[in-house]
Amino acid sequence: MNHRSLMNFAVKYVLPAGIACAVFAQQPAQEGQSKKTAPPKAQRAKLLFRETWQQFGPGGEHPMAQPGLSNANLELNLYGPSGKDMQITGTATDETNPTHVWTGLCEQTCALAVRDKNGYMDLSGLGRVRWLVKVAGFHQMRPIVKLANGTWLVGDHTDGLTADWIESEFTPSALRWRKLDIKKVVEAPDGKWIDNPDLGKVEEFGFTDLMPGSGHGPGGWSDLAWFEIYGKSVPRDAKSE
Amino acid sequence: MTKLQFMIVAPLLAGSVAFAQAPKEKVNARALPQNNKPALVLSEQWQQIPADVEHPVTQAAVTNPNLELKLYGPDGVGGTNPDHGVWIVWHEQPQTEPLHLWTGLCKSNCAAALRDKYNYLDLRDSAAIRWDVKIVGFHLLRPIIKLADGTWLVGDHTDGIQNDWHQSEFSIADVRWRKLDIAKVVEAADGKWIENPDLSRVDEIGFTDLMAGSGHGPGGWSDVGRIEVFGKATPRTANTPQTSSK
Repeated sequence: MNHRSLMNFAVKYVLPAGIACAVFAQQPAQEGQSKKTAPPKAQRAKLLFRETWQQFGPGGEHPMAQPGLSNANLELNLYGPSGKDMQITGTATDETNPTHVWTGLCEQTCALAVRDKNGYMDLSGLGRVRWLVKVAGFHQMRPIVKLANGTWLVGDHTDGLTADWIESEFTPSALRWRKLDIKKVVEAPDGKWIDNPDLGKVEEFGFTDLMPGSGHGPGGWSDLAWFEIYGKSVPRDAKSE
Repeated sequence: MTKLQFMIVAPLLAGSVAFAQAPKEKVNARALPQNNKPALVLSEQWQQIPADVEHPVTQAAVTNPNLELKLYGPDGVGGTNPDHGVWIVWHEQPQTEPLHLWTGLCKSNCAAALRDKYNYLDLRDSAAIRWDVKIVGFHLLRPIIKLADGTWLVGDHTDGIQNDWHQSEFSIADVRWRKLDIAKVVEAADGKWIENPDLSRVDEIGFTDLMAGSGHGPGGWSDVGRIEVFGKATPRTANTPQTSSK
């Protein structure tokens, strides 16, 4: 066998055989490795609670208050210079005007949040929020959270102008957050993005559009009908209660 | 035609067609104006009088004698209250920060606008606004205009958060407008888009972010430095400057 024939033999037979052996040898190792180290498959978060609001008192349009909550486990909190001006309006049986909270009469900024009496909300990982909203004008509705350490955050998820009610869903852990001055309902002066906040223990969840409303008519405001929190409940310890 | 003949004739034919087309394309290119940007009709870079770091803005901050400064909103006019309204700010450091108006101390919505005493602004066609801005937080800076009939509009163009100053330019023709309640500086209650507003006689032009400021520190507010408007000037009816009643 001359040199050329030897090269031909090597390329045609020896090299492919070598590659095949190497691949075959790798397979069991990779399979074994994946069985040992693969992380557990992520589970979608289950519904923790849903709030649909309920009319109370005179019905129609009137200031929002605790009786407007249909879920007995939740506490209502209104914030901002115009928090008390947030209204509940609509009727449960009207799909074009469902029972909802409306910010139109907030002459200054306002925000609403709920607190689950049973425990913190774990909105980390695949925790998510779904809400039915309608927004008018240049307003942009944003989620807000109060962490277990008392820090308030406002998120960069926005729902803006729509002609009709829409369902919107977002994952809190995927949002970018800034500190919120809950007293004034404006961004906190430190101006920092809060990277990787601990969303494993959320004390309150709610919304704001950081803007005053335009009053009656379709000028500029935010409507929130029902909302759903998907996540886990984390018991409060005696100290934090 | 043999293959050889085709290989010779086809390139010649293609070349002839391209040569015949060339002058036509050149004519089309000449049909476009070399520079269709309208003239600079309004420019303001501000001045600091008195020369301190910051104070509520007044007419004294306007360098252009033809322009009137107008402040709007429940908290738009700072006046003698040290912690309210639109302020004028100039820090010597960092050097990159220009003299500018700042909305951080607006306790509720505020707006600022400029009015040319002698002319309306014709903002049709290729009119544009160019401004130097810096925005922090979730605030969104928007243009506002007052039409000759007194209607105020706020536009859907926005400038949002940036780590540093930047120049932003936009064509008025690309902006979609809604009515503005100038007393409260919120969207007007009718909630309509104003399609094709009459931009031939714009009385005032300015800005708002439709939000309250977060105070000192980089929380949430808008900074506006130099403002330039490109368009045409349309003289007001009389030759003498007309000062607005408000």
